Amino acid sequence: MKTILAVDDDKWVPEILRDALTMKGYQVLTAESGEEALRVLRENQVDLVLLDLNMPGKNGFALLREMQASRPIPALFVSGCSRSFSPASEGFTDIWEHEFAAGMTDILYKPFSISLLYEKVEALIGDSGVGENEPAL
Amino acid sequence: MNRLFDLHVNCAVRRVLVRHWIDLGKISIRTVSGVSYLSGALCRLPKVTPALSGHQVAEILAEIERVPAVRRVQPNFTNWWESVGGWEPITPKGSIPVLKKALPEKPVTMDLTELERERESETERE
Repeated sequence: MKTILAVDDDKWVPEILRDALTMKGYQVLTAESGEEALRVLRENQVDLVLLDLNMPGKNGFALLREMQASRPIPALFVSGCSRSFSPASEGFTDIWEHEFAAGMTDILYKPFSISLLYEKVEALIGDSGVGENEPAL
Repeated sequence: MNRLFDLHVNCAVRRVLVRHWIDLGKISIRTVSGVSYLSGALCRLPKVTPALSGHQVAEILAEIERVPAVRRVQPNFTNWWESVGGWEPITPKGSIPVLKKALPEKPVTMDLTELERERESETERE
């Protein structure tokens, strides 16, 4: 079973992501801050990180940088603001030329359909690895 | 094994799109048995200029086709359509531009014989 870490300071977002992805057979861990996310990442084998861009303290770009320092990990930014992903945003060009250029990072704009979420996640790490006839939990 | 290849292809396709500053949030990539499906809007990130041209769309697709293990690329863009001459942007209203109607092969002419006969009969009466 593949494990996904959903990081967002809005409590309901990781919950929705967890409900949706659990139905597909993924194991979903949640964190509400960058520090908590790094701790969860240290303690668990995580296959994919779903990241909010704007969080108090560390923003998503800085957090991804820190996460990638220990090992490369696929990431999906879940953001409501498309303007944040432009060269005008602080720290964006650097992350675009490194983490995005490696091909393991993607973007999902809010609001999104659950089918698009599944499509993006599967394109990054494949399906959950749980057989269709097996229970998801 | 095929699934693993497909994930590697997705990764390589994303690398191509990133090189061209494509907004990944507006496009979806899915590869099945070496066939890469691209759906959504193919456009550059906000504040990245110049905007894509039809020629560049063709270049991007050609680059993706050259990715090892890609058998075929299946684009389904919401903002581009493929015409005979290449890729054309879809108008903001979301409709494909109406093709100009072909001109008739022969120029349109008026049949004046009836009119001439009427004039002749009028002059005879006078």
